[in-house]
Amino acid sequence: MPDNKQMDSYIEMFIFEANQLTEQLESILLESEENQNISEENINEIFRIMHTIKGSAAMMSFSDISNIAHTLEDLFSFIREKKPVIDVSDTCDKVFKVLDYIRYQIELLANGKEVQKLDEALAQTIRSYVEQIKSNNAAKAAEKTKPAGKEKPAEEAGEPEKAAGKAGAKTAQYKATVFFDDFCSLLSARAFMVINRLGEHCTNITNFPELNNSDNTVGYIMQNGLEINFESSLTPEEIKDIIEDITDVKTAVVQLMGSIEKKEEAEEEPPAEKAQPQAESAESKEPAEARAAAEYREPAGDKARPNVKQNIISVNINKLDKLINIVGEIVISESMVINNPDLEGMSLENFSKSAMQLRKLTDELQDLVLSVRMIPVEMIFSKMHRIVRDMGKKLEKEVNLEIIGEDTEVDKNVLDNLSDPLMHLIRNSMDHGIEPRDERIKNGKSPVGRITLEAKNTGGEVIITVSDDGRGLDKQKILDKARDKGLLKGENLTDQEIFNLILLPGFSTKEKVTEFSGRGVGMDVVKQNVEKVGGNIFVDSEQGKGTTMTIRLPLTLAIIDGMMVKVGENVYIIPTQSISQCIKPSQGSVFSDTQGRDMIIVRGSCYAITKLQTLFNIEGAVTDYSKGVIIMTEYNGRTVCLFADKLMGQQPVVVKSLPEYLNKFNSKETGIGGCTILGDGSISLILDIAEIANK
Amino acid sequence: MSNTATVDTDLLQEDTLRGRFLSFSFGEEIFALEIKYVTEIVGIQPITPVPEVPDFVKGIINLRGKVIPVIDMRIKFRKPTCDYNDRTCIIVVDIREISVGLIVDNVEEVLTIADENIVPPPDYRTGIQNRYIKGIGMVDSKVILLLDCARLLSEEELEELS
Repeated sequence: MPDNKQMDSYIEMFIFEANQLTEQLESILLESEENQNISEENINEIFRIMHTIKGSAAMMSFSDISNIAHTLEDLFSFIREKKPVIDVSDTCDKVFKVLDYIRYQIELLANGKEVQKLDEALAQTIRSYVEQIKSNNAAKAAEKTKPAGKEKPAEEAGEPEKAAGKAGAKTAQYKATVFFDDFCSLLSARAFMVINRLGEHCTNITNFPELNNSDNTVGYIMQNGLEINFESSLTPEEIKDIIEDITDVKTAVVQLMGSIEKKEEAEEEPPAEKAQPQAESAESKEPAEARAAAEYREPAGDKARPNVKQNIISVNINKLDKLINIVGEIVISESMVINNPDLEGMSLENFSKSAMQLRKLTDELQDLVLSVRMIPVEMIFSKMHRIVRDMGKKLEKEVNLEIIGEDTEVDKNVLDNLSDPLMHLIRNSMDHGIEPRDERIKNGKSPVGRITLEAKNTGGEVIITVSDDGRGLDKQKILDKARDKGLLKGENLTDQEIFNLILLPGFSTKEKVTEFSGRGVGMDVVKQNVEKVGGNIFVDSEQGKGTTMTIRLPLTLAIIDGMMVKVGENVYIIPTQSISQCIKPSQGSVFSDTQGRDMIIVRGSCYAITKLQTLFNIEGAVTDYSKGVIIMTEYNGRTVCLFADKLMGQQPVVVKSLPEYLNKFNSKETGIGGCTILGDGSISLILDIAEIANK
Repeated sequence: MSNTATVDTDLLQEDTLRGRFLSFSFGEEIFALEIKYVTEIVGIQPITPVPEVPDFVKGIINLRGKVIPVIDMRIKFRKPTCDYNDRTCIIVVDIREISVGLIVDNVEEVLTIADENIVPPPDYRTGIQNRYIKGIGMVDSKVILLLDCARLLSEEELEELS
């Protein structure tokens, strides 16, 4: 038996596999539902997915999952063969329910909890649905289906029945050699599954080599296959089928080694005796044939579903973070070596050449590592289909979700924090935005609503918009509500400002709380989540025409483009993204107001100046405005003018957070967002314009 | 970084570290801290000041790509400050997974002090300095003040600030 650790790795694999499969299944179902037709290809695919889930769940002894998957597998094998007339959306509904159950179980497992018992009602619905389809079909084509209908249950119960039927029959000694796919992951786990599976039908199992996790064993199995000796009453073909059913098994060669000498049986069973040589002769052909067949089958299977596992591996994000850190350090060390003061003044032609080469490589490495963390937004966009579907059914609204630019890539960390906000925005659009069908028709709109989810990359940042063609926001209602709740601070707000009121905590215009939205903890949480990853959210709307939510996100959190500015002896980094312009103030363009605050007029507008030296208490910095530089930065529509000694140039910097120990002090509130290590090894602080602007 | 001495805590058993202290001095007084907290000792490096921190936090340094804060022990213990020179060291300690550099005048030696040679400090915990003293050790008739590393970085500093 495997120890716990081994078991864990099986579970991990099971979760990984099941997650992939359920995702695949979901997209197939959504597609089928949209087309109101399950194509033959998709039926096969669903069948295959259910079959795999059934298999691996049974192997992990999650019998409830395996049972329900079996029922569905059965249903689809029936649909595949008999092609009954079915109600596509009804069928999809049922499969969705099962899918949700399986998903939930996987989630439980992933969180280290036990799987739950299958809800009997669900199982019953599915089962009776399968029965219903079958009987409908039987009734429709009574003549034709009769024999087939009979055949079906027999086939269904095939394995156990046959096994039972043969229980009294003779057991034989077999030797099976199992070969696995060349790139099969967790080979020893798979091997263990083979033996486990055989254990259900066979006795006296011994295997060579012994299964442990060592590389030697794995290597041996890869080369020579896993050799298993056992006794069983099944025929070699049946055994072969059982083994080859297991994921990643390439071929299995089953050889009959002889029957077990049990005197009383041996005499009185000539038919079996007869069958054996037959089996044996069939068997001798088997290996070559089986292999050829398997090799034939292999590419065919690949075509149906490109084997994702072989090209994609899942990596712990912590490892990637470490990798980025190390690459960052390499880049820094490289420039420390190349700009080493010891080399100063020497002419080193060869050294410079090699150094150049090194720089090129490290640059490439850096780009590559950063790109590894980038994930297409498709991952979360595709989830939205399901939400639109489910809510559409519940709210009886017909809505088309249009997705644009789903291959836009963003950093993994950014993406993780985006899923919830997006889900919420879509829900809001469905619930509040899109009007009921009648109202739409009355207003001369198409009865089918439209929600557009779009992502695009604009160089420095990614912009995601969620727009609907619903009723739009009611300005007056928002204002009244805000006044009621005491959220209104000033009068004469611009449209933009009014719409942005809905992002405030405690604001929810829906009178009634519904299942999907309206608890008033929505939009402000969305805003918080977006801001957590350095993004912004804006609301725009036109009454009667629809609402558009725009989320602006940085491409990555790990690297930003920064402007280095010098203040006294210190170098600070200002994110280039937030800089709107830099001004060299001329003599006299700066003046003070009555409270001694310095101001500058730029193109007719007056701005207060924040001196970085006073903000950070730096001595020895330039105080004369005409000798320094003013950097105009913008955050959320607010302009902040920072005064520094001089600009030092622009470069991409790796963002590091400040040491934990400093968190208890107020540095962050002063406007320090993090720090970075410059090429010469010195540390420079990165300014957080949002904090400075909010002062 | 010629005077870098890395103490590989992983290889040494907790047991062998017991009773061993790293000592450093300010003028007359000798202080020591338990060696199990020490990860390495580096020479003084360029320090980047950070705004809005108490004066004893001099800023942050780049320790081979890792950014760690440094504390000037003289200021922390309210001693007269003096300029850093090439004997000035940064002792990097790792306390509950937080790395902090302690700036000291110089590092003396690694001492073994048996438990029986350690006496608890007197019971008046008023002085800034005393608050961080865990015990007083005697080695060859020299008095050594043993620092309480955990307390050194503890939340008490917050009270001090407010």
